Amino acid sequence: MYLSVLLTYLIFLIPLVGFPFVIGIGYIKKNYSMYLGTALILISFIDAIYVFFTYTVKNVIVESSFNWLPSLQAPIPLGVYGDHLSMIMAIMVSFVGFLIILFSVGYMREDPNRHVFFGEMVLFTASMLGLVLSYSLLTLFIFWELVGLCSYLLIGFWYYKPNAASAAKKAFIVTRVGDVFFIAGIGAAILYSSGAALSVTGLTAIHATWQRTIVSLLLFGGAIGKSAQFPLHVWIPDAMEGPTTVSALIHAATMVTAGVYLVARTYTIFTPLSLSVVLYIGVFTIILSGLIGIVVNDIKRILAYSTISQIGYMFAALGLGLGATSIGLSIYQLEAHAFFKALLFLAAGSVLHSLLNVRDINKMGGLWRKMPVTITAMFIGALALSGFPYTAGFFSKDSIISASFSVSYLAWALLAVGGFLTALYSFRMFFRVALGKPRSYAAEHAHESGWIMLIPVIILAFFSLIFGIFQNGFYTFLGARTAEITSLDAVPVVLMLGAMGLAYYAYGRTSSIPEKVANGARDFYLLVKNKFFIDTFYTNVISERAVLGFSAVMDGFERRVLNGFIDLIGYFFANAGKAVRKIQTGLARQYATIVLIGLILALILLRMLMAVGVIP
Amino acid sequence: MISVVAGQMNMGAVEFLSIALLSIGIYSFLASRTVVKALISVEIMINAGLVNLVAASSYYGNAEGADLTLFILVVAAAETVVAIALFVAVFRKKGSAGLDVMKLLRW
Repeated sequence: MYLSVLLTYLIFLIPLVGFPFVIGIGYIKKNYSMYLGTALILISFIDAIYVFFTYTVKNVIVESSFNWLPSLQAPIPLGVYGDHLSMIMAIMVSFVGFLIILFSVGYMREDPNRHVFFGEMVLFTASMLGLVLSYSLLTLFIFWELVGLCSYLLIGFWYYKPNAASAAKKAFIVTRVGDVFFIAGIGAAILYSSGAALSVTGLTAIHATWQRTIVSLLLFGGAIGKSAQFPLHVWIPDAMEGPTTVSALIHAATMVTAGVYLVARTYTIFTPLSLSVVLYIGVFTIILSGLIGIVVNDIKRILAYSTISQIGYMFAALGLGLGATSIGLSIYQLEAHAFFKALLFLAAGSVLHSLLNVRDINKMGGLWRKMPVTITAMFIGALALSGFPYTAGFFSKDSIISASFSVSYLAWALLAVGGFLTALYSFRMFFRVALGKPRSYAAEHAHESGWIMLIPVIILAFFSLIFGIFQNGFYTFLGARTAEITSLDAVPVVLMLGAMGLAYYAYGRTSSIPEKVANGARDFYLLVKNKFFIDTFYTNVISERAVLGFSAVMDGFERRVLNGFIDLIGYFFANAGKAVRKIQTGLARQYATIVLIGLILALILLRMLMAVGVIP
Repeated sequence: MISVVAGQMNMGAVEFLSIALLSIGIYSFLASRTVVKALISVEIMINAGLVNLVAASSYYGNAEGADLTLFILVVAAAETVVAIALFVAVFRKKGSAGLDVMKLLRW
């Protein structure tokens, strides 16, 4: 085995093998878990960096696979595949994962179950690293499910809170709906290519356009569930019940980006039809979640809706159908988003840590005096999120908006409006948190967090500011074509600045404008406030009517029909036994008589067989 | 070593004897009410088979059948001893050893 392959395996095997030890060492001393978990991800990150600069930069694609079950007719490849896309993802996942785990060392310092927490965080990161480095769709699916499992475990980490327990279940079940599509897509890919398409390089073995459309749409269905796009986005706001660092990890590095990666990985089989589905699902999700983000009051849920809308940009970029340029735009947005969203979540975590988990932004305010570093970092995050010129979000998002102009005017307009909404809700959140007077006792007594929590925040803020300098190199690296600058690029910037001003005007100072707008457009406000009734629809119609009704029918079927049938069999044999056992009288002579009768019958049978000629 | 000349015996007569003994045994077993009589009947039935075996051994000039007979006699005697021991135990327990008394093993 070559060194490159071994090193690529180690990127995800080190944390994957190490995570039981992280939990185990916690039984000796709980703080050891924190150090071991952080060290494992750091080693993984250094390994990824080494592989990246030794092989990937020199255009060496690390590829190794073996046949899992040689006895089967169709080969099932297992192995690693490290090309430019996978390695960039691996570096991002391990780097952001490392910073978040470092932050957790401060954030979870007093939790009695922190050894389990760190073990699960390590497993989460390891699964995501395995996912991006998978050679075959099958292993990708296995790691995909591991990621889902870890999200369930971590969202429900404070399982004694009923909200957290049900949010964990919701996340698991909703993403499972997407997983059904994913596994159906794998099945279809195997079917249409007689097994060749199971590896990520063999997807071109599917030739017919309609087959490609089916497979790509099914895979995209899986991506919708994992990446929280409409209509399966409902799990992610509830997932905010977990520890904030978990939210940061889910939103920035590990979970929601998996769907984007899947689509980028299997981009070769996406037909124009399925690409337009990807584009408009993405665009629709941006507008939908942007609107909801403006009316939500929970600081973490605002960030959750902003994640949904930023992932929408990634899918929209993929859906533009520009080949490698689309992948470049999308993955660049993914990386930039990983930095500023991790930054925003960690800053929010720092705020919540100080405010004893008061999450309502109406109860914050004036925090910039109390926590200057955190609030500065949050300001940088909000700037980067809304795409202020020369921050990370400006280069990533505005490039997508510009590129969409040549594809579809409608998509361009909606993406630009999405940028306006993004700036509006992110600065609404920022102004409510930072400016004004403290609106609660907790906010009055806020204090700055410790250095272990501030260092990751500062590193992420630094990257959110300067990430733009990598843009051209990044696109060239992924084979993307850099779009030329036109005057239209000013439109998103103007919209963004307008939204910033509007946010300050309405939320940055004492103002009755939000109430007036809400009262003026009462119906629309209620529609948005109730999240377009999508959650209500799922709960009241799908869960309670359809699923519960169906399960009641199946329950009745099982109790009545199946149980009745089984009982009937038992009843028959019990009563047959009752009838037949009467011949057991216990009288020896009666038995002898029966034996005699049997002997006579056997002799008669023998004679008959001899007469027929069977026995000579 | 018994010297046997093949073909000198009348096998038909021996088989008649054997079947007659078996029938007597079966009848007397079915008609018996006491265990001793039943045991004697069983012995008669066993011996009906053994007569057949010895005769066939002699008829076909093969001494192994005669050897086997000796073993079966011993085993049958041993069985009878065990059976009598059981019946004595039953008699002590129940004060009777009639065949119809022992019918605990029923439905």
